Amino acid sequence: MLTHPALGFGLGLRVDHYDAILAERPAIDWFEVLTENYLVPGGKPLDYLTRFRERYPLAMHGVSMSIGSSAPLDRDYLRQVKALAARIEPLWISDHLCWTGIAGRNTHDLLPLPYTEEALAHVVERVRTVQDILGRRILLENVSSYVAFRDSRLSEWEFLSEIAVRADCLILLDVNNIYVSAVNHEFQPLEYLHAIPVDRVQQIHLAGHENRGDYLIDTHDHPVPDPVWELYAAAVRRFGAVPTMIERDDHIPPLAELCAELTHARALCARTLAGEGVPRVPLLQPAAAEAL
Amino acid sequence: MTRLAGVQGDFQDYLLRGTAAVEAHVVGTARVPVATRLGVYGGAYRARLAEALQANFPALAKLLDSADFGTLASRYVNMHDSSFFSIRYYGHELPQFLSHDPDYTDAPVLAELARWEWTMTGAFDAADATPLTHAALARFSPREWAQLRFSWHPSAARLGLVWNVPQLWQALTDETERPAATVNREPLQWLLWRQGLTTYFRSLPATEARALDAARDGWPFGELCALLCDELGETQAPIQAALLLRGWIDAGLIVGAA
Repeated sequence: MLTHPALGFGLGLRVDHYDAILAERPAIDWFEVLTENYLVPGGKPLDYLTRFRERYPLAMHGVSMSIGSSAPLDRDYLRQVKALAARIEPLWISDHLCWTGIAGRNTHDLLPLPYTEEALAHVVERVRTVQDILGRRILLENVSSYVAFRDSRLSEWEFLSEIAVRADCLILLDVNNIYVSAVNHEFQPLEYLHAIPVDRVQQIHLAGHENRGDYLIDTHDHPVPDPVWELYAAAVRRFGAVPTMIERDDHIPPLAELCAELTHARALCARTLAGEGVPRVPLLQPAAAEAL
Repeated sequence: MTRLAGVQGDFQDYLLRGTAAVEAHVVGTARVPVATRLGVYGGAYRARLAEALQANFPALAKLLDSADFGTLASRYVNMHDSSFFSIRYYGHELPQFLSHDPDYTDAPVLAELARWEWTMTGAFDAADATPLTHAALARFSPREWAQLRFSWHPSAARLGLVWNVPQLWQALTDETERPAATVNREPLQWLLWRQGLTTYFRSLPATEARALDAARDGWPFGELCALLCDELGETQAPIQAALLLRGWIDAGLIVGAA
């Protein structure tokens, strides 16, 4: 069912690391590129992209598909995504299970959806249309969220799983986002993980977050913290050696630091698969959440 | 309107206009109330667009101190929603905003610097095109030359500037000693373009600026020569026309002739 099983460990490609990657050719299995950064007419961004593609497999990760918006799909955007995919032949194309704006506006944020049957049917239909236009299955990523809607009748994991199955798309499981949302909405992250269909998870994101005391913010500006590593180990136990990468979008450290973090992910995955020395404690006790 | 559209409309109105209708759709907890939860999104929206302005106008952000740039960004964000799928294009109306907003009209150098930065960014990622070579141009026969029209590299742009904005921009970008902002007696014409992956700019003598505008408007070479003849006289015009064309070709500005 998966199109690219077991590709190994990747990093999010960031401008700060362009020259270091080209000079050092680090042993990173693949990179994830931010689609919108390369939807420009020409010049350096596309030239760099071509050079990276000559050296590494690339996955495309977008933020503007707005798959959950009640506004019509932006077909011009999708046409450009398809053209970029034809140019770099990505491993896969992903975006987020969210909406970003309506009425011709873009908030440039990954806004959560009410988990209703209405929203579910709406997203499923749109995923099918997008997959028809792009000529391939897409991956949808779970986002961090800070609000829950009164209308919601499903859990987030039920909503995500149902979309993947009904629309026949794949899942990019962001382990940090599960943890952030679990703290913010007081659910058990393991319950989320164990509800996701194993054969739909094509990629895993790891990242850090910021603790605001009563809640967490998905900032991507810290190293991956221990609770997210623990949840990652639980994800490896359930989903196996899914292609995994680390996202860092702010306070970007030297490349070597991220490579070291990726080495930790590699080792943790291997130890987990071998059944060695991996914590199996419940991840988020209600008491622990209260203590935040 | 569907239920989903209603929720999204109220949510977006909260982000863009600060309206409260969305509160009826959201549930909070004892630990984190609704206002705090919505505030995460409200704050992030404004911060993200302000960051985009800073990224798209880095020299302007340096020229103003962070408090003044923060005020400018906040006022601009209040009045300008984004309609772009990429945040790279947010801020396209900032030069115009600075030209017309009463708080900034007494510092017109700011609007010119913003226009300069936006044009530079446009040249940076404009479409690629293969420059025409001297050899390709030499293949046209002498009788074809009078009717020859040129097509230009997509990055090429001309700006008329009253202030010494390119010098200010260079100093701000290189973080060298910044010259005082000064006014030219007449607007000075500047050409910005990209050759290969490098963005260039240079000032244009008035005659070249007129010839370049005419050539970019599609005037054939014969009419460009006539324009130069009117300005420089019959003796100078042919030499000047040849020199201009050679310079444009050398700079990779011309990508086609027909």
